[in-house]
Amino acid sequence: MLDRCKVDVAKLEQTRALANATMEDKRLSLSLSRMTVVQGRPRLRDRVTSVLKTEERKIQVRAQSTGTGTHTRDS
Amino acid sequence: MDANSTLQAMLGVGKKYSIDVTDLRVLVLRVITLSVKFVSRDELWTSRFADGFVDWKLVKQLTNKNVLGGCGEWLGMLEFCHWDDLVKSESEIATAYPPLATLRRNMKECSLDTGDSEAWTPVCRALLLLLVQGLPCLSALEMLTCAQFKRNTRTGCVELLAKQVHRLTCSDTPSRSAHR
Repeated sequence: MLDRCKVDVAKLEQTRALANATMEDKRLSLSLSRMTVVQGRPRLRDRVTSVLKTEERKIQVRAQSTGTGTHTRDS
Repeated sequence: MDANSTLQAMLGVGKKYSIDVTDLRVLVLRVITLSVKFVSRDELWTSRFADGFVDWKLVKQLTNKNVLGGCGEWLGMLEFCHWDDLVKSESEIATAYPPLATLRRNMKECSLDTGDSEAWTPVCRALLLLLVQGLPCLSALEMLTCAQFKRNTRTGCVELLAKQVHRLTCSDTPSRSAHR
């Protein structure tokens, strides 16, 4: 009986291809959503920007104080 | 069970028992081979898939169970299996495959036969469901025939199983049937 069995391989292969494509689509969507969240988080972006500006300002003040010999405190 | 879930179940069997899943047709036959009762599965496997590898240690841990699962998984997998060619050799089946011929006759008597050119497919599916380990026969037959005939077939399935047992009993004890 097993010898005479005809299996619908085309439909099985189609189902497998569809399942693989669905999984790949989900994986890509998840990666894309993670990238969007990291890029678009406003608090993190602003925090990084303000820290950089503060550090830049400190460097400028130190350079000025080293040059003039007076100690200036940052506001 | 939908096609995707059935396929994932089959691929899961392949992964668990280290069976090659490249050829899906062969995978179906291997799943059936590993799940039948009344016969030696390793002998059947060796005769059909001598080069195919399977983790026999895991398979033999299954007692009274099959590798695929329940009725849903089996009916889903059997949806991909057809035996339409058997209609061309109907005259030979009575001599070459007596259990199959008997089952077809019993299904006709219980109004569970479609009677068309594709009638052998549900008969072969029913026979396989009866041969799978760990599968409730009545429930499996009911699910198969209800989906086919779109009606309640419980009574017919109970009669079918009774006829199967009755014919089996009569064939084993010819003297008893003569006294009746």
